[in-house]
Amino acid sequence: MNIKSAQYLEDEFKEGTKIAVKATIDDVEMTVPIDAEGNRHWEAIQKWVAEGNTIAEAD
Amino acid sequence: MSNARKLADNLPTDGQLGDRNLLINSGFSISQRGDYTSATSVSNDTYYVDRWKVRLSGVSANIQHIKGSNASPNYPNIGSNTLKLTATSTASGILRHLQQVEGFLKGRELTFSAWVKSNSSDARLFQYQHGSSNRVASSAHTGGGGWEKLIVTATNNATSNNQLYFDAAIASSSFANVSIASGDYIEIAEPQLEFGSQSTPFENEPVGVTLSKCQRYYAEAGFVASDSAPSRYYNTINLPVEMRTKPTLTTGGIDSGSGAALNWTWDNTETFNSKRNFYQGTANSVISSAWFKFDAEL
Repeated sequence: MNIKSAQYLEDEFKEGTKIAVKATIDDVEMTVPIDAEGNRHWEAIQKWVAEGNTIAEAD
Repeated sequence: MSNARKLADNLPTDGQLGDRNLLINSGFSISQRGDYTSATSVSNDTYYVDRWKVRLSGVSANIQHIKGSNASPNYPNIGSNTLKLTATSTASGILRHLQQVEGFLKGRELTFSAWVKSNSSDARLFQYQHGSSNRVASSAHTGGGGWEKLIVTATNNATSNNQLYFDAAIASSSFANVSIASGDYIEIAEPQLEFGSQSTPFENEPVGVTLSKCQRYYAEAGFVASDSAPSRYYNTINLPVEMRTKPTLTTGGIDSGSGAALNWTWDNTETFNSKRNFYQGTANSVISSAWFKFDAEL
């Protein structure tokens, strides 16, 4: 998978709680659940991070 | 041949007598992502007809979902649906129909069969367990352009939980690149995966049952938002079945209004159950009706 960007989404009703990653993967913008074992997009993001990339903090 | 002899020859060697097929959407009756009845250019590692992924190496290709028109030559079950991949470039490569199966079949002997039509003498079926160096191939199609039933039996690792891969591919017997010319194709019908060493007659499945199985991996659902403090729209989507894992969410389309993407839940304790809450990602934007794709595919 080609990951172009990744940024955490926070729960606006629970400040500081990360709920998902907004990512552009293979040119598609998607919302990927965090800590989702078996989710292939989450696993691709983890691999991308292990390669030295960083998930941007939430706005 | 007597009826008793036919029955004996078609009995499974392992597993139950009914509901034997471990593959999903083998009748190609479900295509939630779109209509591919016209030849459609494909991307590598991408799902089209439900549960069936396309993988390409070296070549470009089209997919076509053919409904009920596979009578000749030699095909025994007229009216079945088929899935066809056709190369649109010439190169050394691999062309694959692939279904990945959850890895709960430790140490079991499995038989993978399908009717295959191809003009390539490198069209084969393959069984493979992720992380293994051993990919087992069926005999090759003759490449004569007729329907031929291919079968491969293998026993999977007794301890690994890794996913299982079942390919109908144009590839060498060792799964290496082969010469593929533009126009080379591999078309498949009635793929079946079952316990034991016997390939038994294809099981037709009610479309509703197949849809429910597919929705464990992929679903679409609509959304009509309602206004609520603090200036957010929110609603709940009840997914039709529990999905395999927490799904990835993409916006399928915004049918009325406009605005930012929706965030998908404010309750992080929710997992992959059927209830899903949404709220508007940006205050006071005007989404009022939209639909979404839920992806928990392998």
